[in-house]
Formats: sequence, structure tokens, C-alpha cells
Amino acid sequence: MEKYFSRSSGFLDSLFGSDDYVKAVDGVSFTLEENEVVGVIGESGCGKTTLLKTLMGLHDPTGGEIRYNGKPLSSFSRADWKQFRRNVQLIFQDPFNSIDPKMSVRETLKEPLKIHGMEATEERILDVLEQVELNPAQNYLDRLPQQLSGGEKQRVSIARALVTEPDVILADEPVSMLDVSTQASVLNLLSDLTTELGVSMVYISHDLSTVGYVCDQIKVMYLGRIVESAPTQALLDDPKHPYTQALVSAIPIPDPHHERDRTSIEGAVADPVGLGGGCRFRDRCPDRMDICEKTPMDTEVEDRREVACHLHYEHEQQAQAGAKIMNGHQQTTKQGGDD
Amino acid sequence: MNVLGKEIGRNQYLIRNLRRGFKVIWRNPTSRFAFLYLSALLVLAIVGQEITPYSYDRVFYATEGGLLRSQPPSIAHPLGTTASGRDVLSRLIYGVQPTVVTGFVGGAIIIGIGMTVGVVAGYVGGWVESVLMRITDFAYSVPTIPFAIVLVSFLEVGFFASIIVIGLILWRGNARVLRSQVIQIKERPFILAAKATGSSRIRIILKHILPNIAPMAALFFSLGVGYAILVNAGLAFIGVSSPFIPSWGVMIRNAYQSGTMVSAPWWSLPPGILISLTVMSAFMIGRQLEDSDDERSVTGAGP
Amino acid sequence: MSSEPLLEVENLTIEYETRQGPLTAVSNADFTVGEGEYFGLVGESGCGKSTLAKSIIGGLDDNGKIASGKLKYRGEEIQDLSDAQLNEKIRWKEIAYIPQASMNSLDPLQRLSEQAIEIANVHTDLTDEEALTQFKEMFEVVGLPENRIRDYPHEFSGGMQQRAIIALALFLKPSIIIADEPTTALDVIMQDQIFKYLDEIRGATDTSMILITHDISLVFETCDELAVMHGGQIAETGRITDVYDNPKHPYSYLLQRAFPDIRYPDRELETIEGTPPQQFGDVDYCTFANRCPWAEEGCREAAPELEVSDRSAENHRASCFRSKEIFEQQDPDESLAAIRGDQA
Repeated sequence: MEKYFSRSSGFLDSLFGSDDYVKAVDGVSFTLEENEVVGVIGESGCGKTTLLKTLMGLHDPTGGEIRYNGKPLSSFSRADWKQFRRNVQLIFQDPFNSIDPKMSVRETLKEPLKIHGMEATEERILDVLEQVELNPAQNYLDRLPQQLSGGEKQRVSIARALVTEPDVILADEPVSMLDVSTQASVLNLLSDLTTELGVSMVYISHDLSTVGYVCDQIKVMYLGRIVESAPTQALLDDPKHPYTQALVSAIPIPDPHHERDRTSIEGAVADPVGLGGGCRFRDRCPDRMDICEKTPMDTEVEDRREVACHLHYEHEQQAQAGAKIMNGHQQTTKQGGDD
Repeated sequence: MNVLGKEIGRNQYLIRNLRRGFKVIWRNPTSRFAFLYLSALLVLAIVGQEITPYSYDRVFYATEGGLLRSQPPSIAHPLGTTASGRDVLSRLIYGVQPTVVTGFVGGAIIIGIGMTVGVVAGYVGGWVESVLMRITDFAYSVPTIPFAIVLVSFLEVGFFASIIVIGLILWRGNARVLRSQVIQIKERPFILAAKATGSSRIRIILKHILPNIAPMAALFFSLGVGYAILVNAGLAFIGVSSPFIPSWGVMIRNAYQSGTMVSAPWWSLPPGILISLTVMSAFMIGRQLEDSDDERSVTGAGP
Repeated sequence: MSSEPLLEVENLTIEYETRQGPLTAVSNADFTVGEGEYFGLVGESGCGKSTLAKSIIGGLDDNGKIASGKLKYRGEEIQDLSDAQLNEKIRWKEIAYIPQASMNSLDPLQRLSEQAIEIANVHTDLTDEEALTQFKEMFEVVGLPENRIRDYPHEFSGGMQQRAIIALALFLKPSIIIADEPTTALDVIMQDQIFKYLDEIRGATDTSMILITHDISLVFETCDELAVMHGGQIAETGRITDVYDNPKHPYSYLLQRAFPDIRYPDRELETIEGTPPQQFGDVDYCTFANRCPWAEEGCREAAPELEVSDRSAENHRASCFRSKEIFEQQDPDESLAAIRGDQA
């Protein structure tokens, strides 16, 4: 059953009245199924935050639509929004700022229940504290955020997201500000949430090494576009898009005996302002071709895998359909890159 | 939706913060003294007028006939008498109530308007913010005392008139600062989280924004109390306030008018000293509350 | 490679004055960095690594002080030098320091070349020309175009700013650079670029580096030796291969296994219970004791000494009373499983 479908084009800024729009999120499409965890990976500035706010309905998409349970957000009634706000929750990156510093744990957890007219019993709150492994739950009720560690605060954040029994949780870098010794337990917790509570999740991060613990499916974003989409294991074993390949090979390995070549990618992520068409990675791509001036489309390369890269086009078919003549170099590359 | 519901949780929040505030004030010797002093004043404000040794306008006569004018302190009159034969101490005690009322009412108006303007401007933004900030700018351009004199002269020289007029001008400082605080808080993730959970604007303002600006608001309230007392004393001195109520400002005015400021210091000095003490105490408490608003963990030393 | 000891940290203890009393940020830290050596200082938030680094160049906050111990640079004690003496002798030209979030330490109103000249004027007698020549050389080493030394910081991207900062740190040819979390704000590709240049600097200049980070992978890939810190104490120190192959301290053992390894994405990650304590006053206990699965009463009664724990490597040291027991006489994996099984 389809829970969530998003195709949005968000324009973030319009500078100086010229045609310089910032396409923060450009033509992103994906579907979140029940009990599924989809990871969105990308560096800062790739549009993840805008995507998140748009998915939450806190930001109107400039184009395209978002559907929840088949119904588009744009046609939501007040009651629909109430339902949506109860069933779709957020977890943030910064444990130090994602809970109100003036409210005790009990009050923080009661808020969502009160807003939605649900019974705000102490039992319910203790229950959810136990679910996030804050034991003994009783001791945590009256604590203030400044009395909690980073990991504990993050768990309270997660508890707040769970207390209304949502279907969907959107998690924005939930572990990146935690010490590594607590990361694993929070990751395990998040992963258990989906299997045991049947919650679906969109997990946004810049860190490929932790997504494997939580996500079923991964989408890699670059400058507002999804460049590759695949089941987690397949993506890590065999990344197809040059950007994904660069990402995977740049991750440091915690083993002094392992020799890893440093990245050959130069330059930095381009300014998101005023980007035209064409592949946005082409200025840094080691496999760049002439055709990359044209925007690549999403091509299905295997079951459930898509790549937006000219290396993986069925160019022969396009040629048959009357497209431009490819040069010899491309033919060779295509054969090498195709599966 | 029950935003202002009387659940136990809500009372806990208030109690917890009042208790914490008290502890904070008690901890520092200066603010502790200020607190005790102000508490004493509060008591006097309520019962003082009953316990003065004499009535404030009772005139005393000398044994040989004629008024007991400008007598230095004695057992019968611990702070001496005024130029018109009245007991200074009684008048001083009598003046506590008007002073306290001035402070509280003035302070309340100042922070009330300032906070409303600041929070609405900061949170709502857009044209509302622009309009409110322009009004604030206008308030800044008004010269306090002259304006007060003019306005009070037009209306009537009553006790509350001057307090209200002052309040209507002095809120301008708070508004600016509180607005920028609100803007900062607005950006923090927990506000976004509240919105995502479906919190309405009003709810967010009441439950999240207000508690987080409370320390600064408390500071401004105490400053407001201080300024209200000061400015009103000034107005009283100039004569732009009701001479029938013997506030401390009026006392100084009377002393001045009788020409005995220097020759009868037991009369002219005490009111001034008390005004200073009161205003300073208010400032000290406000500072202490704001100073110890500490969101970080206990020590905050570096890693 | 490492022959002459360049920097020696001897039983260093650093305290901060706080309202609650003296906070001990570092206690009895002891290690050595040799010439041309890359040394990693690894630990989690609050372990004292940044404090230790700052103390080396006299950069502690006002309420911090070195309570005991010594810092020696090329054999000479430097822990008691005044600010003026440090400026004259040590900072920038012998030991350069790149603070955390160092993008913010570039003056946005000054061209990079101007900042270089200013630094050279304060710390050396070089002429402006000489300073700029050396600065240009460094630009090349870090892969930045020479003709951009007159640019303003905001004209560079984040990764390039970081490299410019490294160039600034290096151009007076110090013997050591201390880099505190140099790549935290950068994406993984930019991080790799920076480390590529840090590798090249080694070849080009024979500079030593102390790399402070919470990410042990960076240390394993770039450094020669490392020290693992917890709660102000050095838990273990030695060559990276020794510490990896034969960990001798429970914290270092668990910490290494808490890091994900992308080659084995399904491997279970370790967690460590609790949080590092805040130490006030004398630290006469092991700061890891409350989080350590192997802890016993004795661990809370005295501070463990950093001792040689490895017969085959005399600079491989650990500060754990039970090190031999846990790591040589038993199999740590087994005993850990047993302990956890009991607790479950």
C-alpha cells in the first residue's frame, strides 16, 4: 500500500528578480511504502532540508505534489491536516535544540498528546520512554534537558515522535551529532521501530556508513536531484552513478592495514543558484561526456534500481528512436558501464 | 483544544520555575538583600499606612505656640519634622504604598506592551512586524519627560495619569530586544518540531516562546519597575503629579519648595535615598534572574 | 621516521576553575610525538583532547591552567612560558594550531595574503616578500592556485578555505601542526581531498602533525601513532597497528568496534553504556570504570598508570589495572559476551 508519494520542485530563492532560481529540490520522486525505511543521502546543501520541510507540509512545493495515503496534501481539509500531523512525525539532528529547554521530559511528551486530544496519561508516557530504552522511565519524567546527555536527549526526541503512534517518521540526521559510542544503540532503536512498531521512515543523512543499519532503500541526492536509487546492499556493493561511487570510495575505513586510494574528485559542490539543465555532477565527474550537457533521465538498470546517468542509458534504443548520433567514445563507455 | 487547561502539568511548570527563581535570587548576597528589602517594602505598602506613628498630615505645634517647623530628629519625631510641622517618618512610611503601586503598575504596563509588541512582531513577521517596529521607532523619538508633562497637563494631574503616560512611552526598549530574542528562538528545531506536531501558532507562542523569553522579560520588568518609580519621582518633583498623595517625589518637592533642602537634611535626604535603594534593588533582582538563566549543563567547561 | 622526540607531554594535568570547584579536564596525560610523525589524539566529546591541544600553545581559556606536569619542545620546557615568549618562540613558526571550526578564524575583511603577512610580522623577522613567497609555496602544496593568494576568504568554498588555513598554518615552516577536527564541517569527498594534501605535506616538508578527532578511521588511515583519551585520561597509546591488532584497554577495544566499517555493513556495532563523567579535583580513579564491562571495585579506588602493556612494543602503553587479565589471559570477546549474558 502506498503511503507517501512525493514529486516536488521547490524553488527556494529568487535572487534579484532575475531568472536565477535556486532549485533546491528538482524533480524528486519517490514512494514510501508501509514498513519501509528509505534513506536519502547527500551532502549539506543538496536540498535534503527543503525536501524534509516540504514532505512535512511546512513548505509548499512549487511544482508536483505530495500524496499521503493517496490523497494530495494540497487538497487536505483541516481534519486531514490534523490527522496528518498526528501520523507523520519528525526527528531532528541536533539533540541540544530539538526539545524545549524549559520543559521537562514529561511536559515535552505530553504536548503532542494534548494537541491531538489524546489521553495524556502518565502510563502512556512511561510506556514510550521504555520503548526508547530510557530506564528506569520514572526517573526521567521530571528531568530537564540540561540534565540529560546528548544520547538521552535524542531518545526523548524519538519518544516525542512516537507518542502519537504515527505511521511515518521523518528523521533528519538523527545520529550525526551523537558520540559514536551511543550511535549504535540509537541506530538499533530506530531500526527496531520499523520492524516492531510498523513505522515507516524517511532517513536523511550524509553518512553512508550508518544507513545500512536502518534503511531498506537508499536514494542519493546531488544538488537537488536524485542521482541513484537502490536497495541498500546493492548500492553499497555496486554503486552505479559516478557520484555514488566517489562517495563510497571516500569513506574512511577504521583499519590501519587497509590501503585506500584517496579520492580523485576535485572541486566542491557547485553553487545551487542559477543551475541550468544538464547533469549537475558533470563539472566534477571523471566520466564526463559531451552528452552530459543534457539532463539525464532516471533509467531503470535492475529490479528496483534507478540511475540518472548517461552512462547507463539504453542509447541504442534512443538511436533507433531517432536521437542524435553518438560518438565512438560513448559507445565504448556505454558498453563498459552497462550491466 | 484546551490551551489554557488546568492540568497538573501546567502548575508544575509554574511552581518549578518560581521555586528556581527564588533559589537563584537567594543565592547571591546582593540580590538576597534586595529581595528582603523589597519584601519589607511590600509589607509596608500594605499595612504601613495603619502603623505610622502619626497621621501623615497631622500638624504639630510647639509648646510655645506656632508650628513645630523643621525640627531635627528627636525621640518624638525620629526623622524630624517638615517645614509645615508634619512628622517626616510618618510621611515617609505613608509614601511606600504609592511608590510600590507606581512601580508595579508602571512596570506592568511597560513589559505588557513591550512583550506583546515584541513577540507579535518577532513571531508573525511580515508587514505586521514592519508596522509594529515603525510604531516602536516613533515611541523612541518621543522625549519622555516633556511629553509626559504635556500629556498630563492636558488630561488631569492625577495619580495614575503620570504612571500610564510613562508606561506608554518606555515600553520601546523591551520591544526591540524581545523581538530579536523571539526571532532567534523561532529558528530553533524544537519550534519546528512543535509545528510539525500540529501545534497552533498561539500554542507555540504561549508554551514555547514565552517561557523561553521569560528570563529576559523578568529583567525588563524589574527595569520597568525601576524606571517607572524614577521617572514618576522626577515628574512629582517638577510638580506634574498629585500633591495630595505624599509620595517620595512629592516629599522632595516640598522640601525643595520650602527652601530647606540643605538646612533640613533629615527631610530632604531620606526620600531620595529610599528611591535609589528601591530602584537599585529592583535592578539587582532582575539582573540576577537574567544572569543565571543557564541552559547548558551545570559546568559548561570546555572538552 | 620518528627518531628525536619533538614534543613531549609528561604527566600533564589541566584544570578549569568553575563555580563548582576545579574541573579536571586532563589528568596525567603522557605521550611523545617524534619528528616527521603524524600522531592522532582520539576521543569522544568531553574527553579533554581539545583542551590538551590548546595547552600546548598556551591557548587555554582564562579559567584554565596547567596544574602539574610538563610540556617539552625539543627538550625545552614550555609549559610556563608567557604569552610574549610563546609568540616569539613557539607559535606559528615552531608549532602551528588549527582550531575547530577554523573557517571562522579567517578574518573576512582581510585578504589571505595580508593575513599571512600579519602573522609573519608578529612571529618572525621575515620581510613581506619572503613571507609571501613561502605562503605561495604552501598554496601549491595544498593544491590551491597561487594566483589567488590575494583573494578574500569568502571567495573560496568551504573545502578550499580549510586548505587555505592549512597553508597559513604551514607557511612559516613549523615543525608541528596541531589540527583540531579539521574536517568536521566538510562532506566526505572534501574531507578526503584535505587528507590527500595532508599526506602530500608529509612528503614535501617533514612536518609532524597532531590530529585531534573523534573519528578513529581518519587516524588509522593517516597517522603513525595514536593516543585514545577518555574522561581526561589517556587510555591507550602506541603505533596504530599495535593498538588495532592488540588493544590493551577496554575503552579502546570497545571504541574501535563502535565505528561502522563500510566493507562490512552488517557487522554489529558496539555500544558503550553511560557517559564520560565530569571530574572535580583529584582524579584518583579510572574515569572509564562506570562504563566498563570489566570494571571491578579496585578500578574506582586509584587512577591506573599508563604502563607498557605489550612485550613486543615498548611504546604501546595502556592505563588499565586489568589489562593483562582481560587481553592476554582471556579472550576479550568471550569474556564480554559472558558478562553481557549475565546482565541480560
